Amino acid sequence: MTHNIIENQNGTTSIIIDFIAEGVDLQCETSVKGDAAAAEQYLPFFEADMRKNFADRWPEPEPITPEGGIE
Amino acid sequence: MTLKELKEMTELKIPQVYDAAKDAYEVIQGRNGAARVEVSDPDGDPLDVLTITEFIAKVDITLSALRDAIRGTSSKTLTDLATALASIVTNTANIKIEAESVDLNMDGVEALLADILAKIIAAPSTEAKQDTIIGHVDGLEAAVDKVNVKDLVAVAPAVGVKTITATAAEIFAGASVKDSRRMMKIRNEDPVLRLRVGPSSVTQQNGYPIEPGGTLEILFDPNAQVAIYGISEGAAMSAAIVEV
Repeated sequence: MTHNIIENQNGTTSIIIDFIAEGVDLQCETSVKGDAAAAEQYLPFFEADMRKNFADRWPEPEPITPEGGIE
Repeated sequence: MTLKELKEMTELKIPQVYDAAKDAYEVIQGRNGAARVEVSDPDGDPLDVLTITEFIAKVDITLSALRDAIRGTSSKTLTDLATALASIVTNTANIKIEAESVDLNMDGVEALLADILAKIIAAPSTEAKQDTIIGHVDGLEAAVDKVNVKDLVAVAPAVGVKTITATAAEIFAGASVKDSRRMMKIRNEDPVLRLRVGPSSVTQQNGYPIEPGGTLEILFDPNAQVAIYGISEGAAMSAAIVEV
């Protein structure tokens, strides 16, 4: 995931995150009240929300098969 | 040569006519090579035939009677007739004058109507009032359209959860604010904490509160972008969002 934080003129800061690096075509954008520090503080919550809301876009994890196979 | 002698000599068939009164046939008579003809009515009764002289005398009597009938009495003269005609001419003239008077009155009515029309056109307040009324009607129509459209879902709604923290952040359901958003409903899913919503200046004190388990529906003008921010009164909490 990559992100970009842009401070706006109206006392808000925009947060743009992109999941293309993970092979998922998903770009998200929001804004928070305050400066870049406030945006950095909110970023983990925003990222988690997007992963939860668009979970269907990520490939299913490979099932872990125990060594020796299943009896 | 008599007829009898002619018959005997030539043995000609002579044209005859039956006389019912005598119950006998008689030879048709005539002169100058033409048979004599008697004019009768449909019942067989002979009609009177006038001579030219008798006919002229009857026409003269009839014309004299007609002349007297036109005059009224035989004492009327052509002068009397001229006087009567003059009276008719005068009455005709009076009728014409009255008709012209009606025309003049109509001209007055037309002038009055033209004056009223000019005042209506020249009165800007009247036109302004009409424009105002038209504006109100347009506004009402637009409002009705919005009310109708609000209940119609043209595209799939966006749904999602949003973590609300002590940092005021924009609230929406998808990856960003839905284009042409008409409605957004926010449900506070925290069992304890209250969240507040408002513009970017929202704080934990001035925001509109949504109690635990409570919901708030906000309608939007789809042609305007309006950001709604949310802030938690305490720790991070979860809210369910739907946008139409």
